[in-house]
Amino acid sequence: MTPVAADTYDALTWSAHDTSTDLVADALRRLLHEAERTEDDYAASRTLNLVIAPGEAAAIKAGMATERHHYPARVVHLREHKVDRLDASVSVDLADVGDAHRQLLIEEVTLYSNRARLIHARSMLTPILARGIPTVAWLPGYDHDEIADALAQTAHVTVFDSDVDPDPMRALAFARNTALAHPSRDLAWLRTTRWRSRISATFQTEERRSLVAFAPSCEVVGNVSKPAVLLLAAWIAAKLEINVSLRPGTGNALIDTVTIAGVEIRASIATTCSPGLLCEALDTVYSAPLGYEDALQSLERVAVVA
Amino acid sequence: MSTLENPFAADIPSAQVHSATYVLFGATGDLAAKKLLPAVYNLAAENRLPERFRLLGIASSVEEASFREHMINAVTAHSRSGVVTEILDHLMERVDFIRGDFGDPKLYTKIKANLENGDKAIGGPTRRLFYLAVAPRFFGPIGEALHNVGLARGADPESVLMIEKPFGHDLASATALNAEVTAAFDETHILRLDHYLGKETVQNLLVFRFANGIFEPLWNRRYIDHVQITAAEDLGIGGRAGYYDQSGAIRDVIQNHVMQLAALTAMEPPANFTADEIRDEKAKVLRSIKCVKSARGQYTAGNVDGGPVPGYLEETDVPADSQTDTHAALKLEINNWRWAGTPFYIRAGKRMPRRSTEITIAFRPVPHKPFADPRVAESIRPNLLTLSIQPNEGASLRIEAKAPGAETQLRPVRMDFLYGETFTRDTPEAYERLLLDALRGDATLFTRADEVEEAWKIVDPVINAWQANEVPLEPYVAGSPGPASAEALIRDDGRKWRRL
Repeated sequence: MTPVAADTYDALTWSAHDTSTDLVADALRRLLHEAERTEDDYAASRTLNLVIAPGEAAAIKAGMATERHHYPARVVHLREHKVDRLDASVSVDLADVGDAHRQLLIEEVTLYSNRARLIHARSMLTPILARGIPTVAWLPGYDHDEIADALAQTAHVTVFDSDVDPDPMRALAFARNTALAHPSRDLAWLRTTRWRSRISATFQTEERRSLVAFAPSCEVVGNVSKPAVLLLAAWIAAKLEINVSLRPGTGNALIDTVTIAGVEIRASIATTCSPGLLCEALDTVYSAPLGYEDALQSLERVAVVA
Repeated sequence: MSTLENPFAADIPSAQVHSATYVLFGATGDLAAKKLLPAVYNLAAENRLPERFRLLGIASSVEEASFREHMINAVTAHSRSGVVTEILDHLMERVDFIRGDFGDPKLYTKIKANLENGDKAIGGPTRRLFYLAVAPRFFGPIGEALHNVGLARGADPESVLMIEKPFGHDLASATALNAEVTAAFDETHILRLDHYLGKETVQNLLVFRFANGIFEPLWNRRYIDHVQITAAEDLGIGGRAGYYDQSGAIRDVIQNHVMQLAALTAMEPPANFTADEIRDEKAKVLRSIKCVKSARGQYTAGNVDGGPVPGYLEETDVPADSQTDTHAALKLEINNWRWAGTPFYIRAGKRMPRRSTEITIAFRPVPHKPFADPRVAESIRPNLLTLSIQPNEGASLRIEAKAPGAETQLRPVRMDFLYGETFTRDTPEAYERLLLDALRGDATLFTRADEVEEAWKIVDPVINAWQANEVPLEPYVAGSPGPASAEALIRDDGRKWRRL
């Protein structure tokens, strides 16, 4: 979306070239007031600020499609352009969400800036973010740089997806650096939630527990180029304090089988179905995911074999 | 690894869900169709059922094929999240059925064999949840029959009994019922459902009180003038005359749901949020409650929702001389350090102006009104905090504000928090939450025997006074807030009910 004119109001949208964040914040206030004046039956609640780093539009749209239904947010999109000035657009809209078709007020701010400004995103964002609620930074792409660092400083939680990076080692290096320094949610880790639950459930019985207690071993078969699979294998390695073999799978599933102490666990509906990962990440803004750091610190225990 | 603990469980909160076989007595009944079977499906759809899970339906009326069709139809009609065929098919693979008479000992032998074979088929022992969606007269006999075949106290794997109100019709019958079921199951293995406790807002009441520093210091007689709890229905009794005419509003709603809300509102902070710590505090405060005044009413023909509705006596199957209360209002005193002198007014009824269950905390007025204009001073109204349980779950705080302008004019304004607006995610059905807690083995949201008995100790004297006609049964027009005596009950204290 490109700003169309300087300081132009069109219904409940506003856009401007070469503006300032104070003016953007002022425009947002005016549009919210206008929405309040013209509409009387909507939900104006917001539970968080969601700052979205520059990334592919399609990925952002897909993530937002489910997120919006669960967590009304003040959304701030950051976009990179070449010129050294701040352009911005603001829109306030009503959307029909949820099974009950509630009218929800959607506030979106888009800031266009060059890289030099974006790496100081904090100073741009502060006047715009709603106070008193958590701020989540979402990094929809990969190849993260200083912008990710800047957002990590601003946000309570940084959300990223290691699986979108074609280079799993680079993705996991970023994950380790970021997650061990800042509160983070890796969608690749959430992608393994159902597998981890299933593995745990498999070893609930005394008989099965004795198998892993006395003869622990593990082989994971799956997509070896996906960090989610590496993280799952590393988590098992951490929990059992053993080395884990990872073999390429059929390519039909992220993970085909996990075999622990001779007990084979296969993919099922429950382990392959994982909608709304961004929502899952936002469910736990204030509580760190269990086991993720253990997995990151045990990646060396995973050996990929042909 | 040096121990036999599950090395993976600590990182997986949902792993606390035990492998289970859910044995549903009354599997073809109305409650099963509308609530229990859809709840199982929705837990499956959210992947919250344990890996090893089976549902075993028990009913006397149909064959297995009919039950499977019945279950699919029930889930399709009543699932809150729609139906994904793949998930339902996967669930149905884990469903089994036995037809039998609850009084026939052979039924329980078949159930035992089915459980043992089912466990073998799915790879290990499962905890047994026996849900009795049947009339209370079957609770004792079913419990005893399960005990006779080794499926109750001391069973390995563990067995849990789940039952739903009514838990007796007075203190004596409740005590007798508790004795019957505890003869077969340990109290720690009996889960009494009050579906109100599965509602998000009721659970939020604990969070509201104990996670917000600004309220708890005010939560006492010094700052709270009185508390009102309303459980209003705009509906009549539907086809439930047989049950309702024996219970009335006081047994149907006040003794259980409303007393639970009162206990959660008034109880002391628990040392921690474990099942027994919370239930200890609820039982303790229930022991302090005494009803000091009551009113009862019965609706006559009127208008609800713009249309005419019959009076209670004109409803199908209601005896022409019925003296059953369809509206009950009580003034409670809580005789403890926190609440002495702060009354709790509670009311529940059918055919009231609208459906609304809420708790209202009425704060004391300001001690001094420093406004020069006496009209302004007189216009100040006390703050109200309202916790809405249904239909719009949320909380609302009424405060006074200055209206814009050169004059000092006060206006009450509301600060609202509505679940449906702030958290747009659909909230789980109460039965889903309670079933999930049963699978987890968490009894926090279930009622303990002593709570049930303490609640009866509060309402029994009221019922006795009503039966002796010491409190007259007054008519009220359907669609009105209740009988005049209910209005007088609070008005005589210089207060009024919150408008419905």
